[in-house]
Amino acid sequence: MKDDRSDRMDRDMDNAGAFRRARRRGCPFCGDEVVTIDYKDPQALRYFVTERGKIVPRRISGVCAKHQRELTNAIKRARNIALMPFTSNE
Amino acid sequence: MAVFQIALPPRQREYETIYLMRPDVTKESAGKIASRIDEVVKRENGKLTLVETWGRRQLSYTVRRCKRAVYVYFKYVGGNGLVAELERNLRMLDDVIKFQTVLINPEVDVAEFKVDPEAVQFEELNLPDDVEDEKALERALGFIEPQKHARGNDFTDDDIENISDDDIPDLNNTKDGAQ
Repeated sequence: MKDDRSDRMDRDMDNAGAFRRARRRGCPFCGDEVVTIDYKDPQALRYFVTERGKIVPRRISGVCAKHQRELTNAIKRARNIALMPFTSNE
Repeated sequence: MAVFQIALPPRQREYETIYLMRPDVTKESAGKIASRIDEVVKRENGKLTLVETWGRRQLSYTVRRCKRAVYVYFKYVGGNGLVAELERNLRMLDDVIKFQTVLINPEVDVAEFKVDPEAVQFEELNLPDDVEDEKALERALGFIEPQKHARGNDFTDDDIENISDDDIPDLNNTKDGAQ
Protein backbone atom coordinates (compact mmCIF):
# COMPACT_ATOMS: atom_id res chain seq x y z
CA MET A 1 0.00 0.00 0.00
CA LYS A 2 1.29 3.39 -0.94
CA ASP A 3 1.45 6.16 1.57
CA ASP A 4 0.31 9.73 0.90
CA ARG A 5 3.78 10.96 0.13
CA SER A 6 4.55 8.42 -2.58
CA ASP A 7 1.08 9.04 -4.09
CA ARG A 8 1.85 12.71 -4.29
CA MET A 9 5.26 12.01 -5.85
CA ASP A 10 3.70 9.77 -8.48
CA ARG A 11 1.17 12.44 -9.32
CA ASP A 12 3.88 15.11 -9.55
CA MET A 13 5.99 12.94 -11.81
CA ASP A 14 2.99 12.25 -14.04
CA ASN A 15 2.27 15.96 -14.23
CA ALA A 16 5.88 16.76 -14.98
CA GLY A 17 5.94 14.21 -17.79
CA ALA A 18 2.75 15.55 -19.30
CA PHE A 19 4.11 19.07 -19.01
CA ARG A 20 7.32 18.19 -20.81
CA ARG A 21 5.56 16.33 -23.56
CA ALA A 22 3.20 19.23 -24.14
CA ARG A 23 5.94 21.85 -24.25
CA ARG A 24 8.50 20.38 -26.65
CA ARG A 25 10.87 23.25 -26.14
CA GLY A 26 13.89 23.32 -28.39
CA CYS A 27 16.91 25.45 -29.06
CA PRO A 28 15.89 28.43 -31.20
CA PHE A 29 19.30 28.39 -32.93
CA CYS A 30 19.50 24.65 -33.70
CA GLY A 31 16.36 24.58 -35.79
CA ASP A 32 17.04 27.64 -37.87
CA GLU A 33 20.56 27.97 -39.23
CA VAL A 34 19.85 31.42 -40.61
CA VAL A 35 19.71 32.83 -37.07
CA THR A 36 23.27 33.54 -35.98
CA ILE A 37 24.68 34.72 -32.68
CA ASP A 38 26.58 37.95 -33.21
CA TYR A 39 27.85 40.28 -30.50
CA LYS A 40 27.42 43.22 -32.88
CA ASP A 41 23.64 42.76 -32.93
CA PRO A 42 22.52 43.70 -29.40
CA GLN A 43 18.83 43.81 -30.37
CA ALA A 44 18.86 40.07 -31.06
CA LEU A 45 20.75 39.35 -27.83
CA ARG A 46 18.30 41.36 -25.71
CA TYR A 47 15.87 38.46 -25.85
CA PHE A 48 18.31 36.41 -23.77
CA VAL A 49 18.92 38.88 -20.95
CA THR A 50 16.61 40.01 -18.15
CA GLU A 51 15.36 43.55 -17.67
CA ARG A 52 18.26 44.07 -15.32
CA GLY A 53 20.76 42.74 -17.84
CA LYS A 54 21.43 39.26 -16.42
CA ILE A 55 21.88 36.39 -18.85
CA VAL A 56 18.77 34.17 -18.86
CA PRO A 57 19.70 30.59 -17.87
CA ARG A 58 19.13 27.95 -20.47
CA ARG A 59 16.68 26.04 -18.31
CA ILE A 60 14.36 28.97 -18.91
CA SER A 61 15.23 30.03 -22.45
CA GLY A 62 15.51 26.47 -23.77
CA VAL A 63 18.78 27.13 -25.61
CA CYS A 64 21.08 24.10 -26.03
CA ALA A 65 24.42 23.97 -24.18
CA LYS A 66 26.53 24.71 -27.25
CA HIS A 67 24.54 27.77 -28.27
CA GLN A 68 24.26 29.00 -24.68
CA ARG A 69 28.08 29.07 -24.54
CA GLU A 70 28.19 31.09 -27.77
CA LEU A 71 25.41 33.35 -26.54
CA THR A 72 27.18 34.00 -23.24
CA ASN A 73 30.38 34.93 -25.09
CA ALA A 74 28.48 37.24 -27.43
CA ILE A 75 26.65 38.99 -24.58
CA LYS A 76 29.90 39.49 -22.67
CA ARG A 77 31.61 40.93 -25.77
CA ALA A 78 28.64 43.25 -26.41
CA ARG A 79 28.79 44.42 -22.79
CA ASN A 80 32.51 45.09 -23.04
CA ILE A 81 32.12 47.43 -26.00
CA ALA A 82 29.10 49.18 -24.38
CA LEU A 83 26.51 47.85 -26.82
CA MET A 84 24.71 46.16 -23.90
CA PRO A 85 24.52 47.07 -20.23
CA PHE A 86 26.24 45.12 -17.45
CA THR A 87 23.34 46.10 -15.24
CA SER A 88 20.45 48.48 -15.35
CA ASN A 89 18.88 50.28 -12.41
CA GLU A 90 15.82 51.53 -14.30
CA MET B 1 72.94 14.62 -39.51
CA ALA B 2 71.75 17.33 -41.77
CA VAL B 3 68.70 19.17 -40.56
CA PHE B 4 66.54 20.81 -43.15
CA GLN B 5 64.54 23.77 -42.09
CA ILE B 6 61.65 24.83 -44.21
CA ALA B 7 60.84 28.48 -43.89
CA LEU B 8 57.08 28.64 -43.58
CA PRO B 9 55.38 31.95 -44.22
CA PRO B 10 54.16 33.53 -40.99
CA ARG B 11 50.65 32.52 -40.08
CA GLN B 12 48.02 35.12 -40.90
CA ARG B 13 44.87 35.56 -38.91
CA GLU B 14 41.73 37.57 -39.42
CA TYR B 15 40.65 40.02 -36.71
CA GLU B 16 38.00 42.66 -36.23
CA THR B 17 38.33 45.71 -34.04
CA ILE B 18 35.75 48.20 -32.84
CA TYR B 19 36.95 51.47 -31.37
CA LEU B 20 34.92 54.22 -29.74
CA MET B 21 35.78 57.88 -30.14
CA ARG B 22 34.56 60.77 -27.99
CA PRO B 23 31.20 62.13 -29.22
CA ASP B 24 32.70 65.60 -29.75
CA VAL B 25 35.64 64.34 -31.81
CA THR B 26 36.60 66.69 -34.63
CA LYS B 27 36.77 65.68 -38.26
CA GLU B 28 40.54 66.28 -38.31
CA SER B 29 41.17 64.23 -35.19
CA ALA B 30 39.08 61.32 -36.51
CA GLY B 31 41.03 61.52 -39.77
CA LYS B 32 44.35 61.36 -37.89
CA ILE B 33 43.22 58.28 -35.96
CA ALA B 34 42.14 56.60 -39.20
CA SER B 35 45.42 57.34 -40.97
CA ARG B 36 47.38 56.08 -37.96
CA ILE B 37 45.50 52.78 -37.98
CA ASP B 38 46.05 52.46 -41.71
CA GLU B 39 49.75 53.15 -41.24
CA VAL B 40 50.18 50.64 -38.39
CA VAL B 41 48.42 47.87 -40.32
CA LYS B 42 50.63 48.47 -43.36
CA ARG B 43 53.80 48.68 -41.28
CA GLU B 44 53.09 45.31 -39.64
CA ASN B 45 52.44 43.68 -43.03
CA GLY B 46 48.73 43.43 -42.43
CA LYS B 47 45.87 44.16 -44.75
CA LEU B 48 42.61 46.00 -44.10
CA THR B 49 39.62 44.16 -45.51
CA LEU B 50 36.63 46.21 -44.35
CA VAL B 51 36.01 49.55 -42.67
CA GLU B 52 32.61 50.75 -41.41
CA THR B 53 31.69 53.88 -39.50
CA TRP B 54 28.60 53.25 -37.41
CA GLY B 55 28.22 56.87 -36.36
CA ARG B 56 27.39 58.36 -33.00
CA ARG B 57 25.52 55.95 -30.74
CA GLN B 58 24.11 55.92 -27.25
CA LEU B 59 26.33 53.92 -24.87
CA SER B 60 24.79 51.38 -22.51
CA TYR B 61 26.87 52.81 -19.66
CA THR B 62 29.04 55.85 -19.14
CA VAL B 63 32.59 55.50 -20.42
CA ARG B 64 35.07 58.21 -19.37
CA ARG B 65 32.11 60.51 -18.63
CA CYS B 66 30.72 60.06 -22.16
CA LYS B 67 27.15 58.88 -22.68
CA ARG B 68 27.51 58.65 -26.46
CA ALA B 69 30.40 57.67 -28.68
CA VAL B 70 31.33 57.40 -32.35
CA TYR B 71 31.73 53.73 -33.30
CA VAL B 72 34.19 52.61 -35.98
CA TYR B 73 34.48 48.96 -37.00
CA PHE B 74 37.20 47.43 -39.17
CA LYS B 75 38.39 43.99 -40.22
CA TYR B 76 41.94 43.08 -41.15
CA VAL B 77 44.33 40.24 -41.75
CA GLY B 78 47.65 40.16 -39.99
CA GLY B 79 50.32 38.14 -38.30
CA ASN B 80 52.00 38.11 -34.92
CA GLY B 81 52.25 41.39 -33.12
CA LEU B 82 49.83 43.38 -35.25
CA VAL B 83 47.03 43.42 -32.68
CA ALA B 84 49.40 44.34 -29.86
CA GLU B 85 50.89 47.20 -31.89
CA LEU B 86 47.46 48.42 -33.00
CA GLU B 87 46.07 48.37 -29.45
CA ARG B 88 49.19 50.09 -28.11
CA ASN B 89 48.55 52.91 -30.60
CA LEU B 90 44.83 53.10 -29.82
CA ARG B 91 45.62 53.31 -26.11
CA MET B 92 47.80 56.36 -26.72
CA LEU B 93 45.10 58.32 -28.54
CA ASP B 94 43.09 60.58 -26.22
CA ASP B 95 40.01 60.67 -28.43
CA VAL B 96 39.68 56.86 -28.38
CA ILE B 97 37.80 55.94 -25.22
CA LYS B 98 37.38 52.19 -25.71
CA PHE B 99 38.32 49.43 -28.13
CA GLN B 100 37.90 45.69 -28.52
CA THR B 101 39.55 43.20 -30.86
CA VAL B 102 38.08 39.80 -31.70
CA LEU B 103 39.75 36.96 -33.59
CA ILE B 104 37.46 35.87 -36.43
CA ASN B 105 39.53 33.29 -38.27
CA PRO B 106 42.71 31.72 -36.82
CA GLU B 107 44.22 30.78 -40.19
CA VAL B 108 43.60 32.55 -43.48
CA ASP B 109 45.25 32.66 -46.86
CA VAL B 110 45.97 36.30 -47.65
CA ALA B 111 46.14 35.64 -51.39
CA GLU B 112 42.52 34.53 -51.36
CA PHE B 113 41.32 37.87 -50.04
CA LYS B 114 39.98 40.13 -52.71
CA VAL B 115 39.53 43.52 -51.17
CA ASP B 116 37.37 46.24 -52.61
CA PRO B 117 39.54 49.39 -52.35
CA GLU B 118 36.50 51.50 -51.53
CA ALA B 119 35.51 49.23 -48.63
CA VAL B 120 38.78 49.89 -46.81
CA GLN B 121 38.60 53.68 -46.92
CA PHE B 122 37.92 55.34 -43.58
CA GLU B 123 34.90 57.60 -44.08
CA GLU B 124 35.28 61.27 -43.40
CA LEU B 125 33.36 62.04 -40.24
CA ASN B 126 30.42 64.32 -41.02
CA LEU B 127 28.26 64.21 -37.94
CA PRO B 128 26.05 67.00 -36.61
CA ASP B 129 27.26 68.64 -33.40
CA ASP B 130 26.76 66.56 -30.30
CA VAL B 131 23.94 68.34 -28.49
CA GLU B 132 23.21 67.25 -24.96
CA ASP B 133 19.61 66.15 -24.56
CA GLU B 134 17.69 69.25 -23.43
CA LYS B 135 15.34 67.21 -21.30
CA ALA B 136 18.10 65.20 -19.60
CA LEU B 137 18.13 67.37 -16.49
CA GLU B 138 14.35 67.29 -16.13
CA ARG B 139 14.39 63.52 -16.53
CA ALA B 140 17.15 63.17 -13.93
CA LEU B 141 15.15 65.25 -11.48
CA GLY B 142 12.12 63.06 -12.02
CA PHE B 143 9.86 65.61 -13.72
CA ILE B 144 9.56 63.38 -16.77
CA GLU B 145 9.01 59.62 -16.74
CA PRO B 146 12.11 57.81 -18.05
CA GLN B 147 11.59 56.11 -21.39
CA LYS B 148 11.56 52.37 -21.14
CA HIS B 149 13.83 50.63 -23.62
CA ALA B 150 12.40 48.08 -25.99
CA ARG B 151 13.27 44.66 -24.62
CA GLY B 152 13.13 41.21 -26.07
CA ASN B 153 11.61 39.71 -22.94
CA ASP B 154 10.16 40.82 -19.65
CA PHE B 155 11.97 38.47 -17.27
CA THR B 156 13.02 40.10 -14.07
CA ASP B 157 15.80 38.77 -11.87
CA ASP B 158 13.22 37.64 -9.30
CA ASP B 159 11.50 35.63 -12.01
CA ILE B 160 14.70 33.68 -12.56
CA GLU B 161 15.25 33.00 -8.88
CA ASN B 162 11.67 31.96 -8.16
CA ILE B 163 10.50 30.53 -11.44
CA SER B 164 8.53 27.32 -11.44
CA ASP B 165 8.15 24.87 -14.31
CA ASP B 166 4.68 26.23 -15.10
CA ASP B 167 6.10 29.68 -15.77
CA ILE B 168 8.61 28.54 -18.37
CA PRO B 169 7.59 30.14 -21.66
CA ASP B 170 7.81 28.41 -25.01
CA LEU B 171 10.33 30.44 -26.98
CA ASN B 172 9.66 28.57 -30.19
CA ASN B 173 6.14 29.82 -30.20
CA THR B 174 6.46 33.58 -30.33
CA LYS B 175 2.74 34.25 -29.96
CA ASP B 176 2.59 33.10 -26.34
CA GLY B 177 6.36 33.20 -25.77
CA ALA B 178 7.58 35.66 -23.15
CA GLN B 179 5.08 36.18 -20.37
